[in-house]
Amino acid sequence: MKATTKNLKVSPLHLIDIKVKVLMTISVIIGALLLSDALLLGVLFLITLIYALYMPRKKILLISYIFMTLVMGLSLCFVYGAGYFYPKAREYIELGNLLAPFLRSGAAMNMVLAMTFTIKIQDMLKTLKGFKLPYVIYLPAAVMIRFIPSFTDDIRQIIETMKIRGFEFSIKSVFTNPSLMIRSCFLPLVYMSLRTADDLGISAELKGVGIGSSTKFKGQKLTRNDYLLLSFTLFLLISLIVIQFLFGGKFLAGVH
Amino acid sequence: MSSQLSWLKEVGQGPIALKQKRYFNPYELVTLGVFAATSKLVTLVIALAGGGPNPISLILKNLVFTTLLIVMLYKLRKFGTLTLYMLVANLVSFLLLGGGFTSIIVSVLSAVFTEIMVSMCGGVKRSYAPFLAVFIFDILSRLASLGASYVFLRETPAMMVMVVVIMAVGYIGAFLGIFTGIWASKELTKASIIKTSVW
Repeated sequence: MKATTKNLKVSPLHLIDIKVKVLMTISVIIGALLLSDALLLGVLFLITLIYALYMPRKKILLISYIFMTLVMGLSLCFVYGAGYFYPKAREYIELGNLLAPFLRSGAAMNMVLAMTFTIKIQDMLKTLKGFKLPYVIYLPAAVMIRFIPSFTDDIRQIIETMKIRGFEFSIKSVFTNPSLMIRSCFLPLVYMSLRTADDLGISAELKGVGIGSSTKFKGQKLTRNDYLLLSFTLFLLISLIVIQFLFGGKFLAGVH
Repeated sequence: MSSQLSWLKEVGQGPIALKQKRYFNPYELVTLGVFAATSKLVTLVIALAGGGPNPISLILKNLVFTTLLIVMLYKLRKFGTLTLYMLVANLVSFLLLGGGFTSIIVSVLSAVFTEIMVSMCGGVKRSYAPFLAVFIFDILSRLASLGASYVFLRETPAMMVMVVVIMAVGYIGAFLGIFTGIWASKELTKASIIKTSVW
């Protein structure tokens, strides 16, 4: 019951069209790559953070930030250690130098997480169709999206079967009993994939998938808010890039 | 005799004639989607079982991914399979699992170059083609990913040391995966599941 209530949580981000969310995310990633001034990146980061805070599962955002900070911290430790052998490496450990990569990655992460955790699978297929992707991309993508839950169940079954036999699926077991892990875990998985691929492939052929025209989805129209949001994102990114350029900055500055 | 049997030929070609001639048939596309979903899920399960970023789960993830990729390439021996697989897997990963957008570009470009190189080395029908494709792709995609990471971390290039270490550890798994992939494909050939010759 709790899970059902959780699934029903709708945030303002759910109301934005997926196409708009995808375009906004791609634009921000490209914009963040072009920007190199820490202040301008900070503006972009703040705006994307406000946008991401509208997503319902904020805990994921927090965990992602903790993880990113840990990885960056670990990288710094590496750089510091490398400084013993190559003193020039320590010159890079300055707040100004560290801030820009953090803000850039943070802005990209905010957009990607906000997009990923507010997409419904049923809308996803409609959107892929709406993007007018070629049949060769749409069909495998639809299979992938549609069958992820079934595969999750299959993997769970394999793990449960192993538990019934008295073996635990863990990284430790890979080293203590590798042949058993291959036999009871990996091979069923490969066979399961091949069997599913065969079954689905044959039924797709028999149902005539890919022959002639298929039933068209009624495309979801973009609302005024969608257009406004997309225009604001593009305006913001173009302004930031122009400001950087006007104040003597260069695109992709810092690339040696 | 041949003219007498011509109607039979036409009947036999009936449903085929109705079909739009497509380079990839639905069966191949579905197989591609199934393998993309399986490898994505398995790598996720390994990452979760590993409990965080550790070298063992990193090696294992790459090993399983490469093994499944080789099996798939032996099953679908067509030019463009690797590129399509990378495009679909990374696109869905970007939209549903929060994967990186740059990884779509990096993987697809690496796959295109790989397939061109494999074509120059005899084509996809050769028994060694999947092995060669994965070997080249692993190296190319990692080098391209390093380039993309450099653009992200350009102000502090020294931090690339960590990225290089992570990629090198991952490559150990990918390299081992080539051999386990060939072994798995050979086993599946014996079971007549893969119908082409394995190197």
